[in-house]
Amino acid sequence: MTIEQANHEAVRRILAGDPVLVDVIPASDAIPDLSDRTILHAGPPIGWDRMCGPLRGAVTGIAVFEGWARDLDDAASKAASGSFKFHPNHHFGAVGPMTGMTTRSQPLMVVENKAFGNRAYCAINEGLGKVMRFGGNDAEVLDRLSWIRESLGPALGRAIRESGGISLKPLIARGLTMGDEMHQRNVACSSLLLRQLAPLLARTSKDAGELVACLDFIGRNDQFFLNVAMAMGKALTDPARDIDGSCVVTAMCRNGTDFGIRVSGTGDRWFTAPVEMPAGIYFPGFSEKDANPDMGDSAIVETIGLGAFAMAAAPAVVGYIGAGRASEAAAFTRSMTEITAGPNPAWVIPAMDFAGVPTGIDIRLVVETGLAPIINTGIAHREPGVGQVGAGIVKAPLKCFQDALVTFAETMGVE
Amino acid sequence: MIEKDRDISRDLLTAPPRVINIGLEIFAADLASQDAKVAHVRWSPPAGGNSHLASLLQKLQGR
Repeated sequence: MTIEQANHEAVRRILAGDPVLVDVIPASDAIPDLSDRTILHAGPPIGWDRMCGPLRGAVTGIAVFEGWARDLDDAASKAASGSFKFHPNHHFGAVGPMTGMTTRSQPLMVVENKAFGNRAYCAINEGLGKVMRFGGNDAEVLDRLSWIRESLGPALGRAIRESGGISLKPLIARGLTMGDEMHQRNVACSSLLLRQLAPLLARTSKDAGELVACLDFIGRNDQFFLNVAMAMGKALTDPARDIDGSCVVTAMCRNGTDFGIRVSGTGDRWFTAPVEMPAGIYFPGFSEKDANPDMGDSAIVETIGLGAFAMAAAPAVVGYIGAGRASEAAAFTRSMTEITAGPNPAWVIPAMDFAGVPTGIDIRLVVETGLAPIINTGIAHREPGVGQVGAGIVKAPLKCFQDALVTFAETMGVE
Repeated sequence: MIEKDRDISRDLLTAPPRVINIGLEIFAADLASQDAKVAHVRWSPPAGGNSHLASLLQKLQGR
């Protein structure tokens, strides 16, 4: 197979995917290999010694939540002494936003790619502000996680099973026409999903108070759909992995210290470089000096052509993330067409004359043009326990793509 | 023909500048800030001028 043929096959698999939200189940059931005292995190592999502040904050918080430590100090001491095993979500078929904590007892949303039979997982979005994905770890954060585990997760599981599965491709298509890019703006897709979930939750609810709490929690969270979109992204890209001769990117992610990418033709290897600092807008009382560098598995949505790649669909988000004028939104999407294999005809943007979102990042095009993939992102406080302080855009480091190109060329017998 | 060329030359000197800028965007931004008509063409050497990477890209062509 030539490179063009291999890339065509990788993109064909991404476009042919049929992602369906099929369930919400405990992580221990979804990922049987997820053992006790194992913590999955966002981004490429990293040890406790190199973890940034918010990632350490989340690790200590989730250790207390799981009952593996008495308190945060005890958790930090145990983490430093090697009591916990750390692995990337991506190694277990999962993804997680920002710090991306995944542990045994958390409920995970299950997206099944019906076209290829694979599944991918993501925890339930906790809402905005002081939350664990941004490094929050106080009693309020842990209590919310407990409620998600005991009430919301099981309720969503019952509702989604009752539905027989919620098809995500048409939902995304609709959201793109309603101003979402599915990374920093999910208000349309969250609403569309809630419209489907509400009667199902009502039909399967065991308690009126619980039903009200679930509907209220989802209804107040504009970013509720983000985690669904991320699991969908993972479910769509996994079938495109391991195609000999393909230089299409199958994952982009970051752990707050390193940015990592995977490329189809180079297998499971990570190509990493130091993460960059997002440029954006800060919440009142915070500034760039409070910010942690780029973090999270959420760049999986850019990997499938959404997020910043679909900025033209979401002019309102440009203001939220401080990326310029709304009229400049199309320029972001247009520039990403220069580094991708082609448009996705199923996901089109009205404001660009119904052009499909740019899909299939080709590392050759990134290296040749010097155009780095752009990512829309939330910004976490650099200290553990604080939470989100802003939102912005960030570029993937070119070094990841340059190193990947050298290795890819070796696999093709070129030096 | 000669008359037309003369008109174009005169326009260059008397009409407001209309500029195509290639490469460094700061020049285009500077002109635009002074209300000059400017079209910017983004261009940089392949692989940012890194000869090793440019060579790999060339060798991968047609593979």
